[in-house]
Amino acid sequence: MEEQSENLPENAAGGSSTALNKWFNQTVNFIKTHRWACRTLVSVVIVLLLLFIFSVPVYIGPAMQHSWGKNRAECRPDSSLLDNRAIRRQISATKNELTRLQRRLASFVPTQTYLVINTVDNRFLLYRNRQLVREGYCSSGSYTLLKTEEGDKEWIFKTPRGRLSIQGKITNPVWRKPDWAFVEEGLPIPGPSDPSRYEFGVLGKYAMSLGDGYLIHGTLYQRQLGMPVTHGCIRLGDEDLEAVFSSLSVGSRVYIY
Amino acid sequence: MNRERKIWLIIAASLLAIFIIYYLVMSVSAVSRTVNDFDNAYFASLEQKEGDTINLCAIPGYIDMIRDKAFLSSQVKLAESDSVGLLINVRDSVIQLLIKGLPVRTVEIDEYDVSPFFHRANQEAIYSMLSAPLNITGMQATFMKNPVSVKIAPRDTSQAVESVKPDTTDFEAVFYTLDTDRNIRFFFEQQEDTIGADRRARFFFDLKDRMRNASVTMKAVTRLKTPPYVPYIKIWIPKAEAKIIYRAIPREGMIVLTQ
Repeated sequence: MEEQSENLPENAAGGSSTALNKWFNQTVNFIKTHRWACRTLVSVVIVLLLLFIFSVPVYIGPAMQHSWGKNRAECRPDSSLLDNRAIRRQISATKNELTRLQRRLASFVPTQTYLVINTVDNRFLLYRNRQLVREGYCSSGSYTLLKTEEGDKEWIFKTPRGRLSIQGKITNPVWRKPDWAFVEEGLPIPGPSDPSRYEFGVLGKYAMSLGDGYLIHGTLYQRQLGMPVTHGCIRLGDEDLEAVFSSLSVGSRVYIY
Repeated sequence: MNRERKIWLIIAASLLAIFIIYYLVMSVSAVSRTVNDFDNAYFASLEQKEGDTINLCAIPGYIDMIRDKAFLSSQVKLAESDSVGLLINVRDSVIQLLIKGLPVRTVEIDEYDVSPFFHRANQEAIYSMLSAPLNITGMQATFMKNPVSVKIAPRDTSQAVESVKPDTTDFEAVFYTLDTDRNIRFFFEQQEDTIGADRRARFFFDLKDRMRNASVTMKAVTRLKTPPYVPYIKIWIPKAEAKIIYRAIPREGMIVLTQ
């Protein structure tokens, strides 16, 4: 009985290996006797080989670059170095330099009220004493390139980015239409002081100049706030415009990104 | 299969295997070569050898001060410039858009991956390199930076139509790279990966970059030279934020990095 029970696992293993050999031989015979099976097998092997060759420079190489190699050894702090006077002087100088740099960096953040315009989401943020006091939707440049049919003139409608400042404040502004406004509407361009150049009430109650003809102003098209639809100016809703106009003064900074 | 054909097959397979091993060895050695060159250039600029200096990280707290100093110094230089800049603080997982030193947008990094270069190079040398902003030298993206639409002026008022332009990038996958003058490449990838189009875009964007690197490496290896290695930082952030950052950064913008 003991011998039988000891031999059982061996027999079982032998049985499974025989079955495996049998299955293998059958498969080999099948491939040898069927031409299409042989071709398929060769094709699969070639494809796998090509995939492997492709993956060497594209995947395996970069993975090995990432994982092979020694990182820099951890550094053990040595407190006795602090006894060295030169090192202590160096540390003190670095601390002073850090303080100087922190102060210098802080000086770039305005203490006055300022406006931040996000031209991607078409949102504005108004800060007072470095605290956000108001935010909302605005409209900025549409990134439209207007060309005349002849191609001799073109205008791009984009809002300038970077740090600008309020250069002037206007109540009840009048829009002096530039040439592109006529070209865009298919109208002939009038003379520089032609009355048709002046349009009243379209810029809202207030406007703030950013220089180079760009304004922050109101709009008749309140439903388009939050969309990039302007010719480069920044449009605000009536209430937001009033709040921004009363908060910003000439020289206030406007950050546009 | 006749005997001669078998021999040729074995020779071809052996040559291929040797080339693959050679390629992999050269690829791996590219990282250590880049690290050594970088460290040596730094110590050469100090006119001393690495072993001659006191290991600054052995001075308690000093290496952190050096890092903070480099970070602040770089920020101040960026603030003094007129460029809209990008601050990448890997340590605190934060990205900021800066205009003249003012952070106008702050984004939390969901996930990042840093090249082994940053773990292997001398920390003092890295902080020295990062003490001034990196200048962007190239950008590649899966979407347009400034989607300009061309409009031909109408002949008369009857043809003029008021048009409202939709922002099509909301439906586009957002993946891009920023190359810098100090040979560090930044990858920005959208965190969202829910739709098939995003997954496809991610796969092909990644594959394109891998193919570009593989081609450069292959060229160098076939000329029996150590291939160049570009240290990288991969950053995953929300799609909307990634898009805003890419649109806001000028083509010759600057990046402040700390890690």
